[in-house]
Order: sequence, then C-alpha cells, then structure tokens
Amino acid sequence: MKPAPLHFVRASSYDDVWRAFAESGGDAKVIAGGQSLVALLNLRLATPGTVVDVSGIDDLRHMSVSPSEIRIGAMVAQWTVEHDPEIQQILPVLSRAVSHIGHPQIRSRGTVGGNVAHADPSSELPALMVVMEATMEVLGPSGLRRVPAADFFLGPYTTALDDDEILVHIVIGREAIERRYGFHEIARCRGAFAMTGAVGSMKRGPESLRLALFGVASAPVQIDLGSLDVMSAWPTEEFDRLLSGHFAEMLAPNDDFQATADQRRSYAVVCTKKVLHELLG
Amino acid sequence: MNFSAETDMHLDVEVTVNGVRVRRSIDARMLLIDFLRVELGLTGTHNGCSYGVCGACSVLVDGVPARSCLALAVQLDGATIETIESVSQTQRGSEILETFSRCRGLQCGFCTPGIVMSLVELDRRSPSPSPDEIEDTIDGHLCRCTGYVAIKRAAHEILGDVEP
Repeated sequence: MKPAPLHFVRASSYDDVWRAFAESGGDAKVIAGGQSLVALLNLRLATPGTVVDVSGIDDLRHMSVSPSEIRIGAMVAQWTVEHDPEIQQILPVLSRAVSHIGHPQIRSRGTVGGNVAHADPSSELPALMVVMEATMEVLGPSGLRRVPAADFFLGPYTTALDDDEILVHIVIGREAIERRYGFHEIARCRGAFAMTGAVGSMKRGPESLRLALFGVASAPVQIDLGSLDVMSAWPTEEFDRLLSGHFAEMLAPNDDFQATADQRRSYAVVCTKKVLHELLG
Repeated sequence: MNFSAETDMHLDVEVTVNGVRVRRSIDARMLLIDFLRVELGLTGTHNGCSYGVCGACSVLVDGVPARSCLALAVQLDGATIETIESVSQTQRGSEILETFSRCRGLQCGFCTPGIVMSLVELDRRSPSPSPDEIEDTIDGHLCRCTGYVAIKRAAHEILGDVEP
C-alpha cells in the first residue's frame, strides 16, 4: 500500500468539512479529483493525517453556463468543462486550456477547482483565470469571500486560501466571455507539464490586451505590453529584441531538468508572439 | 505540518465491478488498483508507475477512463467500474480485442489492458473519432516495447478510421 496511513472523511456538507478540519489539528488535506494529491500520497511527498473528500457536497458539483456568467463548482471535472458544447461555443479558450492538462484519463477525474487550488506554477488554468479576471469564491466557517484571481495565486502550490477555507466556485463574468483569446504553450510532449506558456485576451484594439505567462515564475505573471512600450514595434524583429530585453530583466524562472532559465525566457517571447498573432493576425 | 495517521482506518466501500456488486471493509489508504488486484483478484489491470503517467492501470469509472493508481478505493463508494476482464463479455469487446491482436498492437502486453480500456470508451463515445481524438487517447499511455505505430494502427482499425 503506497500512501501512508490516513483518516478519510466523506463530507456531505460544508459543516462536515469544518469539523474534519478542526478535529485534524491542522493536518487535513482536501481531496477533489485527487489527480495531483494521490500521486503525492503514493510518493509520500504528502502524508496528511486526514483526507477530506468533498465530492459528496452537491453544491460543488454544479456548473451553469450563460453568455453573462459561467459558474463552475469546484468538483466539476475537467473532462466535463472540456466537452461542454456551450463552453466550447462561448468561451472556447477554457476548453482549449483544459485540454492541455495531463491526458483524457486524468481529466476524467481531475477537477477545474482542484487544479486551480493546487496552483502548480506550470499549470494553464491559473494564468487563464488571471487573464479572465475570474473570481474565486472561497468558503470557510466564518463565511464566503470573493477573491480576484490576480490576488489568489501567491506562489508555488500556495494560494490565498486560509487553512480553514476551501475553494467552492469559480465565476467568470460577461466581460471575460465577450473577449477574444490567444493561447500557446511549449511542452516536451503532449500531456507533459508546460515548460512555458502564454494566454492573452483582447476586447477591441491592442490597447485592451491582457497577457499572462505560466511556467516562468512561482505563480502566473501578468505582462502589461502597453507599459513596456513594445507594441509600436509589432510585428518586427525589433519587437522580439525589445521583449527579450524586458523579459531578461523581469523574469527569473527556474533551471530544471526540462529547461534552463534562458530557454524559458526565450520560450516566453515565442509564446507571447504566438498569442499576439492569434489575436492581431 | 505533515504527520500521517498512526493507525489504519477501515471504511466500507460498495462498488459494482464488471457487473457484480461487491462490498468490502478496506484500509482508507488502499488504491483502486490494489483493491482490484488484491481484494478482488482481478489481476488483468496492471500497476505501472503509480503516479498517473504510464496509463497501464486505466479502467473505466462510471463509464469514463481513469487511472486506478490515482484513486483511493474509498472515494468510489457507489461507483461502477469496468476492467479489462469485462471486455470479452460483449461481442463488440471481443471484436476490439481480436482487432488489437491482429494488428500486432501488443508485444509484452503490460500496457495493453489500459490502452484497450481507453479504446473501449472512445469507441462508445464517438462513432467516428477524429485522428486527433485517437492521438489524444493513445497519448495517455506509455508503451516500452510494441511501439506506437502498431498500437495506433490497431486503434484506427478498431475505431473505423483510416490512418492518415
């Protein structure tokens, strides 16, 4: 048996969760789809005394999709979002970004909320949430808080969730649904963790551009191309040179077995350009 | 703070496996793959990497393919599980197995049960899957000896698509 001994709580209400948290003395971990957590349990990189299963809480399993708002309960599977015909129609970038997470056999159980709360620095969804200016609804024993995505991702595997809080819904507003998106990532192979990626959106002209990078820092990095004063050089080689110069100053990614810091900075330029080509033609 | 619980906790789990309802009291930390292989003796499902990468342990949970190494069995109370042992029980399943074999989609056979379960699901879901869908499904599986050319040929033959 690979995981260390653990207590398992099947929560069927939020009160069950708060009780399990309190009884665990700060040693509890929430399990949603478990596609990151169970791997960590198997490797014993995580040995929580208590695992709290929130799949029995109905409120977390609901998703509603309309042109004015998309609300995704934290237990909704990535697979469900990826294949939802309405999402594919009104916010295709969401299905597209989700399709880069692992493999179909992972996305079938992995959840959007779990991915977001796990906050892997190489993950697609945190950066997309920041660009969409999505709202993270987090609930704890003292009530509900609405945290903007830009304030939610604090570092590697670290979010604004307090120890006694859980992510309950992700809310994407009309403004985000009405924007156009570009997305590009570079990975060693399909299904592998991204080395670097970019997601961008635009409402009308280039002045409405929003861009975020992932895989280049401990959390998504928002890039304000307007303030960098590079767009006047788009789409020339001068643009590449200027942007490379800015990224050399702004970005200090990790060196690891997949890519060096220099590679990642150069991939950030490539991904940004791919996103801009998609948005600006 | 990370302190594992000092003692194992037992919980009841009731699942339907290949059409048979089973109920067991098991350790909370038991993985689905160990539940199938050790508790139920269904050793057709193979345990490869144990962290979700290789795909050998894939089974169907409530009709969708999932890694049985990335689920605690106690998470699946009430679920319906299908393993490789169920495939030959239907005519379509037998056809899939025969085609896979005829196309030399397997050599040592270690990765095969997982791949077949993924193909069974895609075959049910999509009457004529695109080459991209087939690619995406096979991508979720590592093979270290047969080679993907034969596996993909088998998949395209099963799913009624001519490989481009």
